Amino acid sequence: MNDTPTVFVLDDDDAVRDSLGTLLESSDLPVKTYASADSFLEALGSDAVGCVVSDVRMPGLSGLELQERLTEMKIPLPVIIVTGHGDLPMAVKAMKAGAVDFIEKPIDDELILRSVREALSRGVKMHADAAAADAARANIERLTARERQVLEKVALGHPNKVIAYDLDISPRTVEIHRARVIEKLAARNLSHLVRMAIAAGVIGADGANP
Amino acid sequence: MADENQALTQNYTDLILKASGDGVYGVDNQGYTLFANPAAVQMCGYTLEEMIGHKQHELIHHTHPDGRHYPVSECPIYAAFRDGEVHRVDTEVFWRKDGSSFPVEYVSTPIVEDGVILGAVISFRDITKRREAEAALAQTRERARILEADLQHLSRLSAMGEMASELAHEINQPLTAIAGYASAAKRFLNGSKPDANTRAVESIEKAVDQALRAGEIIRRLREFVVKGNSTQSLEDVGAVVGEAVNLAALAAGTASFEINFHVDPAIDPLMIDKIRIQQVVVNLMRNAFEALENVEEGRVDVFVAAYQSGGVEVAVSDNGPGLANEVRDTLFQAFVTSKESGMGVGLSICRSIVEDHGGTLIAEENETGGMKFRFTLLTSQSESET
Repeated sequence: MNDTPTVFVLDDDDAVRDSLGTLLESSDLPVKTYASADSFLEALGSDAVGCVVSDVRMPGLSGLELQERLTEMKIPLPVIIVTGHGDLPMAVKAMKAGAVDFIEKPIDDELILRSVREALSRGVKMHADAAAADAARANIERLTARERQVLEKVALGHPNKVIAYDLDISPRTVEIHRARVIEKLAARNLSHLVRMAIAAGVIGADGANP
Repeated sequence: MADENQALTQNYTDLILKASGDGVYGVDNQGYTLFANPAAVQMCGYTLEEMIGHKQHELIHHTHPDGRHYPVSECPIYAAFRDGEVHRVDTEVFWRKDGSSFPVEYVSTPIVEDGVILGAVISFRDITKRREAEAALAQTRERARILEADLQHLSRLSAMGEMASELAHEINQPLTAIAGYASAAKRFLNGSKPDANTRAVESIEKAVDQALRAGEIIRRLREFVVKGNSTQSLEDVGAVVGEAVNLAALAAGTASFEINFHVDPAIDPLMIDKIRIQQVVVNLMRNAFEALENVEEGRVDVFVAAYQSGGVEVAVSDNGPGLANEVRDTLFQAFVTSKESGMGVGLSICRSIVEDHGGTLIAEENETGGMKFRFTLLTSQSESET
């Protein structure tokens, strides 16, 4: 797998899988097909970009279980669930578990192409976000304990004076730490810094302590 | 001492005879009664005096159960002292003094002394209770058999329902593939890839394969419904159809239709799959009932008649509103239905079952403007290879 956004098609029926693959190829979308969720997970690299189109009813892991597994493993791939006749309750469950869309067989080509394109751009963004978070986390690892304390309080919006008082150091020292943090994280501005702190889990997304 | 013993034995014999619930009597080799125990006297309704010295056959065995005269020459009881054999019979009746009779089981044993047959001892019992129990048992068995047939019918129908839903899922797969390949072919042809034509043709070929796969699934279903577990046996078609008519009438429940069953008694038995033919009849009758839903004085006539040499024609006719021509044209196509609920497999399967029996199923308008469905069943000789 490389970083070209790819559509991963999963269906245990050879003809359904092949026809879906052909349809996506005919619309210039890069496709990889798998006969089961298990074989897909096995082949899955850590830097996969794109989206998954998965049949809901398969031997081994079902489409629903695959969705749960991807969420659990924090793999940034949106999932479109394809359902057969009467699998609707399963599709609803999959949506609740985080699938981005579900499509009924036989599949309308316009419908699935639109859905796949949306999922792909979402997948690209999810992948970029995940990569940014990874990078931020790696950079934050390089901070000293004191710098990390300062980052946390800066990200929470505390003024330098308050931080100095809280940490029992001079405001001047806070400023030095702050400059070091911005340099190490290559932050363009304060809001970029806050986003990285959130992505890396230093603070919660709601601006509170995690 | 010997006399004493003999007296004692005689005494015991008397006691045994008196105590026995079975009737016991003895006759000499002319058929005249020598003795009879109380049970025999009581069961036959005569006094002891009326029996002793009279010909027992003329008193209690003079007539067959069906009322025909019973000549002494044919009597198995008297045969014992003619041929020296033990005769056991349980298919006859004894007659009481008052002219009534009871079913009896008897054993007539010759009395032989020094190689000479002196007469016979007859032991008998009234088997009214046993006969009643046997009749009840037979009735229960018959009822169980009918219930089992109903059950078999129901399970066959529900198996068809399950098959139908499984089929709907299974057939969705090739349909999905066909739609996918066809859409891909269209996009290849509309696009500008260098190998567009090759890929479009490839996709179309694959779509064709999948269409054939879908056809194969349907063929398998038909096979299952029409031929699976097919068991043919020699059957009285009139009786088979009659049972189905009763079954359908039961299913009609409270709806008040007049159902008439006309059967030609002079038809030969045929090799048929009874359950499947009954399925056809029930199916046709249920269609008729549905046609009569809004008809006053609805009426269904079922005919079973001889057809050509050795064949049978069965017809189900109703006085409903009939069917529009365009409906009649698609009547036997699978998955085509004019009903709000229904898979549309009924008549198509009926026709296949009939054809499997070497016959044909035809729909036509009858003289009332209603529908008449008739099918033929042919003798097995014409298609003995199955």
